[in-house]
Amino acid sequence: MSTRYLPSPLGLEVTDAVHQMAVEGTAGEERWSPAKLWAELASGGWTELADGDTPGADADVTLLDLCVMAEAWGRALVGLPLLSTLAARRWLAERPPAGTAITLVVPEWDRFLLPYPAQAALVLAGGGTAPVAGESTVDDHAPSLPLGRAGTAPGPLAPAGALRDYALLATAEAVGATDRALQDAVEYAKTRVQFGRPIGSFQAVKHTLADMHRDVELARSGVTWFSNDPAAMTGGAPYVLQLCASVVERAIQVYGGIGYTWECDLHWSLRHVTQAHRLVVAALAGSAS
Amino acid sequence: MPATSFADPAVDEFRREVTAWLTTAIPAEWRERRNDLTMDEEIEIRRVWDRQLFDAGYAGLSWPEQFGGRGLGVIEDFTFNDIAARMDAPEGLGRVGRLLAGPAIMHHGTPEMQARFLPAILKGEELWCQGFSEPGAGSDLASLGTRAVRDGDVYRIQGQKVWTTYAQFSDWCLLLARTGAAGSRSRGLSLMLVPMRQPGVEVRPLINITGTHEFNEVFFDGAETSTDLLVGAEDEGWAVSGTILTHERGVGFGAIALNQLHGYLRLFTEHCAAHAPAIAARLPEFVTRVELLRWQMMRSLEKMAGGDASPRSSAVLKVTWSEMVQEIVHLAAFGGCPEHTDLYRTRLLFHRASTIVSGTSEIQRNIIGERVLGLPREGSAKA
Repeated sequence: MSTRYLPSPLGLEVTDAVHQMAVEGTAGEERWSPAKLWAELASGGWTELADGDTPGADADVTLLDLCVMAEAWGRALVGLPLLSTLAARRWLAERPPAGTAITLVVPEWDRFLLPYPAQAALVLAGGGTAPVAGESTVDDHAPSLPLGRAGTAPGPLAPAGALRDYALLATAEAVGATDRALQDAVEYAKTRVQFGRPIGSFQAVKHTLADMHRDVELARSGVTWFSNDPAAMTGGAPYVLQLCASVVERAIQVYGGIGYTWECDLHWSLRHVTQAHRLVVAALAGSAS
Repeated sequence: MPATSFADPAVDEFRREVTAWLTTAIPAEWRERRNDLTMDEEIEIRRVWDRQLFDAGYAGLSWPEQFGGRGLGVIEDFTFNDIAARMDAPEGLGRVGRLLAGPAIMHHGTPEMQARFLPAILKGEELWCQGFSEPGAGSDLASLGTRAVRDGDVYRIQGQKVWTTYAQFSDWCLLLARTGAAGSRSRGLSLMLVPMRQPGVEVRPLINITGTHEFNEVFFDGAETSTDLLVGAEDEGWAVSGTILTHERGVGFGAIALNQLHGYLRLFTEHCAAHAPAIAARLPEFVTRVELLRWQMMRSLEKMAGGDASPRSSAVLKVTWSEMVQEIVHLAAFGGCPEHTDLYRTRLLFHRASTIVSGTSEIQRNIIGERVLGLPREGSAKA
């Protein structure tokens, strides 16, 4: 298969549609896990996007298309298991109905992580699914990426290929969460006035934002690279996710004091990226063992 | 038809064609004695290389066919430069003509100008230099003071240019001079073609920090050029220069930089890491970062080939490769590899240029901030 540097036209269409649904779906009160949005995704067939003819094969949309879509999804910071469901369905021979939320058991050191423990009822198990077993405590550091933690496996471990695909989509999603912070910081720098001028006109701030833009672009290039060469994630994805975190950290600096408060949304992005780093590192280690 | 994607099978075919040609075309002298050549020998090889490029059809890869080019695009341009850099091919002396003067004349010159100058540029028969920067006008190019005063059917030129690469070999200068009132900034500048070999033009060498002679100062004291050699309208040289400078910041530099970066990483991996723990410790990080840059470059090129010809992605690439290569040679020079210390300390000097040429890193960050992110200009945006 030839190298893909850019998403397909279909991938761009899908991205726009999913992004719009995500933005509208998270505008209400049920911010992190809006049931209405999930129903809409399922009825529109969006959870079946990655269903290829055979397990692990590309559907009409390519892995890179899915990544671009995942980035747009991440920009809305949604706590719904869309990406784990897409990654899992790629590896299923027989697929459950579109509305069934699926997650993956990810080994981490002496325990197990379960993304979206409260939102997904099934885990991927080889070529099929299994119900979630046992109890887990919830790590809700990032409400857009809740992780269950359990001492015994809450189901069979996901196959290596699925763990890798999920790590890829979770990385792309984190790039989206990062880009949101960058865009917010840019808008803030255009409107926040000090010394009689918008702070974004000062080079100290402008050049910080320029560097953040460069780093988001490089992170995006990383996702493009990994979608073509998933094995490269082992060394590359942790670097890219740290780069993302450093962008969000600088966004908080651009906001100044208000960026340090609960009222400002930036901490949700930083929480998401940090959580994604944990999940992706574990998933990659799990996919290698 | 230019390729719009690296996946185009025509690009594979092109790659094979270029590799085959370079394998036989690179002169043995260059291949074998590259580092022992005298300046004169090097210049002679590079002068001949211009002609070799033309004869083989590589001089005007992305020039339109009507001007003697191949009518290809950025994908082929990058591919050629990439393979040439990897195979250590010489660089022609006619670069400024092919990348700056040629496009300026093609897009903004008269048909007479095109017929007179373009063939000689492609063949490398006439060499060009770029007369933009001045001692008092570097990053702030619009403040330049060299004057061109109309006198009948000629302009008389008075002033000084600097950083003029290879002015000592050049037949013509692509000159940006003030035709409007003093203080007219970008509104009073004109772009013109000026013969270098005439009384009133003096070229003085400016030796750079590595000890080589590439740059010059050029003094114009009553030098003349015909009013027919104005490119675009009088006082509208700023806009014309803006369109052609994007060529300079483009594809060739990126391909060369990427190959330099790969060269350092190869040397680290094969030699230095074993002797220098400081280099070994940071090698994996740099392998990842150079690869991210490569994917960024390929994505940008495909976007450009698809018609998104903004200078924006160039600024991101320029900042990234220029600063990365400096970080890497810094690590190399102080990383403690005994075998390569001599090489690396010379490279440490050499790569200081990267973040200054073709728009400093500070200017690139202004471009990203203002033209990509839409932030207000400094000082001009009172709330």
